[in-house]
Amino acid sequence: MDSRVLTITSGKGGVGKTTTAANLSTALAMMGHRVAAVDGDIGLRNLDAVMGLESHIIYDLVDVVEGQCQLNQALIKDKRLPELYLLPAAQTRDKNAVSSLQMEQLCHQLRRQFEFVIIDCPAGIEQGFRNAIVGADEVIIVTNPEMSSVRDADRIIGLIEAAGKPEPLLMINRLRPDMIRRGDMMDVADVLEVLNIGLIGLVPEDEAVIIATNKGEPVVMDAKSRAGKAFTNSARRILGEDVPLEEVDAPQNLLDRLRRLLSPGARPTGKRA
Amino acid sequence: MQRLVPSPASQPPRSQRSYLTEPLARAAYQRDEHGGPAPAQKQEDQVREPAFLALRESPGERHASSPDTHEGEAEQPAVPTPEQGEEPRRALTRKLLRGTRSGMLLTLEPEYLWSEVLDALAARLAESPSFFQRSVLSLDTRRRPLQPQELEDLRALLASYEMTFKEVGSDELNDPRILPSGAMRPQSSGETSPLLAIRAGRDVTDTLLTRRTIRSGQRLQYASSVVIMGDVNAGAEVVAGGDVIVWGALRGTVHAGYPGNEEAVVCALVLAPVQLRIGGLASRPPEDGGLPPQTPEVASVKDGQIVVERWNAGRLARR
Repeated sequence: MDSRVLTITSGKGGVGKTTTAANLSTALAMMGHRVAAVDGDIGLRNLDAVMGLESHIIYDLVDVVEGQCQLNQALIKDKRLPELYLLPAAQTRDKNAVSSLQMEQLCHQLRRQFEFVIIDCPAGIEQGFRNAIVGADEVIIVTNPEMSSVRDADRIIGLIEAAGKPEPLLMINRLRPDMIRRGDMMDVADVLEVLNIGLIGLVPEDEAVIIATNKGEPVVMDAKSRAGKAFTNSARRILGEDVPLEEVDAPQNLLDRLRRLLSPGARPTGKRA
Repeated sequence: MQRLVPSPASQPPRSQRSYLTEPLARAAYQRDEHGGPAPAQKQEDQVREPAFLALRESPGERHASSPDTHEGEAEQPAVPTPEQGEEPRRALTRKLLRGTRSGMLLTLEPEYLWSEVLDALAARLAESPSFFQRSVLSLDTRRRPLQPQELEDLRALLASYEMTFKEVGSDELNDPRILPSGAMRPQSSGETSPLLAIRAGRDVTDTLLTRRTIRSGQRLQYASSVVIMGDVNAGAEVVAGGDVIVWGALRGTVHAGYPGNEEAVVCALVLAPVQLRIGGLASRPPEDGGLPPQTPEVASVKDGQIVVERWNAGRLARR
């Protein structure tokens, strides 16, 4: 089958990679596709908890790579969706437990069984990052509209280009339209001015995400959540559908723009030149 | 002759931003074994010097120094003594110098040292000075262009014979109007030439032009001037021996005129660097900020300070 391996990365920690990975996987499975979600964060695994599957773990990714078990023994079928599987990370090991070659071979095996392989990349630029992108066909970068996150995303783009992967796509997460309107937060244009890559999604800050994480139920399953809708739209874009970009209350008039220009802290570098 | 110099009072006020300047302690870049600044990053983040810079006569040798070539090569060109030069010089003469209908033709080849070629030419001319008086020397520079300093050497040599020279190229070997690329001038009295001469010390012939954005964590290091068609993002670094021109937004760290050339400038469409260094001076933008830059600007050193001004080519040309 024509499989696609997508890695969700960011550089910066805490911007929403795991949330994005869980939600994109769930959304794609809800639309009938066979999906494997892979947790690349060995030692600090979270994807299992976000998907509500932590108590189902018997074997993990490191066991597979070390030959302790078969791949199918480690893959966990989702509680709710028949087409969704999780390959969890190990919690008692660290990122040096797996080599890039092993990861590449693993991706190869997964491709044979799944239409989509979504890899949750750990924060940073070290071995965990290298392992997560080595087998990727496409990369999605998650960033927050905030200076340090954008700076790290820029670094990641450079590394991805150097690794010979196609140009990554951007998901801007945790947008707060009220702050953007006041000029206290970078808007989409500011982020793109620095990063200059294509957009795959705009996800607003949403309390429902925190509630969903605690419940172990990805927020795309909550029909009322704005973040959930945004993740679903992104999944549709991944499938090739031309979904128009979400509205994030951009400053409307000249006065707003001027206020944004003159107020402190809203520049991409965080400083005023 | 009285030259027109605009009086200071009649100039429009410069919108100048003063960057907080301080002298840079010996720059932290390591030197590699060739004496140039060494990369601290992995190879794929680096830009290597192009092969053109290796267009010297032979490894380890360089021709007479031109002010615009980069520093770092410590070897001096070997000077052949008259005795040891005799036989090989004759061979060289036979190889490179030929008589044609329109006079003597000197063919430049990349495998020969300029000093040897000049030597051979001088010897040949000395053999029959009256024959060559006031004649025209044709230069075939298709395989090896002339450097500005070499042009001067040649002119000096030919001056004593009241000779002139002209470059010829491709099949029009007899047509002096056709010049190969390199834009070297034929020297001739009374003839006004449409081409602008490349002047050593003023013009830079080995500039790097790159069409890409330098991303955070990447470092572009080059021994001469750099033109970037793209942005330099915050967290990126550019270190250049000459000027740095950013046709885009400069938001990262830039060091022009590395290590000690304070004549270098930094230009950008949007000049908003984290840190800006020229030669031995480092500076950062003023804390209170003001508006972000609205027009292209140029940073240069004036009286030991780095100042940033609106771009105006006229000012720069007068330096």
